[in-house]
Amino acid sequence: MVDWFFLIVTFAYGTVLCYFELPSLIEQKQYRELAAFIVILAAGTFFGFMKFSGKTVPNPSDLMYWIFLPLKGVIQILLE
Amino acid sequence: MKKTKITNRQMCFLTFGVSLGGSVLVVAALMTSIAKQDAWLGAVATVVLGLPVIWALVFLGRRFPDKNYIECLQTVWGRPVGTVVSGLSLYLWITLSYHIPWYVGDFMTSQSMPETPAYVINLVFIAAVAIAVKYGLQAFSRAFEIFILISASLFLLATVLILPNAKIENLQPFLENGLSPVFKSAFFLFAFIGCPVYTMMMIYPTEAENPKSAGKSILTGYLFSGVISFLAIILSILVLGWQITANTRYPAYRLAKEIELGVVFTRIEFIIFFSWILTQFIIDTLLFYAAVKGIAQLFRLRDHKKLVLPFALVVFVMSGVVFPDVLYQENWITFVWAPYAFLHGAVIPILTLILYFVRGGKKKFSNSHSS
Repeated sequence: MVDWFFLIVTFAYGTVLCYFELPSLIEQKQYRELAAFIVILAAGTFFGFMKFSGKTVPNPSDLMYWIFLPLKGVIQILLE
Repeated sequence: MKKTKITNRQMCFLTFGVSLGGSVLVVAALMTSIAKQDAWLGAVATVVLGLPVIWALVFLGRRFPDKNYIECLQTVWGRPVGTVVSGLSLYLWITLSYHIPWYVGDFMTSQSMPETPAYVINLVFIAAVAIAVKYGLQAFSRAFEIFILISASLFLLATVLILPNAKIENLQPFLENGLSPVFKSAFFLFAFIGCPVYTMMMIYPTEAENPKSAGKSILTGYLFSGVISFLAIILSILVLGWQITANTRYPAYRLAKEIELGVVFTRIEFIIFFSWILTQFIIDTLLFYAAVKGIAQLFRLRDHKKLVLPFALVVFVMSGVVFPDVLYQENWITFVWAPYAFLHGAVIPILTLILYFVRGGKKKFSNSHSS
């Protein structure tokens, strides 16, 4: 299901942020900050687009679940 | 640039908030499902057994008074390994900073506003958190001094009001299954209240007004949060009995529903709710701050505040993705969160401490302060 409201909110937020923050970052020659800013914002916008247009977003919790799967037996013992 | 400094009292309150925040409302259920009516002993055991771990953190902070946690790990473990280890620690802050809004959204939608989409609630919450971080450490720790007093006094008020309903029979039989379930439950409680304390290491030595005595404030804050957790657990058992506590999603909130004094003071569970939202706000702000500051530190950026607003978007989107449903969340918390937090909150600090001594201790590291 496409969630138009939040889809628009996500893109509007990204645009407004770029409009206000990018010029000052470029002016002050903070190129590392600029790169980090763009990467994080792009990640946020991308995940937002995926989520609100109804596609499945890769869930970081699944990754952690998979990593800690070998310890499941230990925790099971603790739970009893 | 003038450095912001945190007083000892603020340090104590921040530790209290970060330690208590995630757990006070939910952890009683997990504890009682393991240790049954003896879960309150588990809370005592947690506080006592957790102190050495917190002390290890404080000790590291004292040895590296001009380095925050990430720099400290990089110094002790060596640059490449330290970067990986601190990157993992940073990842916990990043994930946890969107777990907390999920809890707030879930609590609101399941307990009081079922028609509202969780994203709307998350949006308001995260906006407040992002603004708090944008204002800076000094500003929000001053605000939290007030918030924690409000939150703690509301909680104590609820405690006093609930006392007439307590039944001492609910604690019996004492130690029915021996001590081992008590220690098992203590492990889980420690994963909730002890492990997040390492978030404070982003603030403790570098931003403290007097780094020498601030360590004591961290220990005091941890003890306070242990006391509040203990109260929440023992009251849940005393009033509800362990069966109901173990089967309720938010035992402390369920507990406050029992308050009835005459006809005037009924349905005041929202004081617990308000107090909980405040602590959630505190812990999420601190995690958000640690995450943003950590990213800036790891990639050697000068200004972490520039990253606050884009990071808020990531947190906002992921807060609805992270747990698809309640069952998934309960499984995840038990099987992943407990070992994961334990790894970062206890294993890594202690390994770091051991490595610090193995690699030569004070003699080796005291002359590398400036590097």
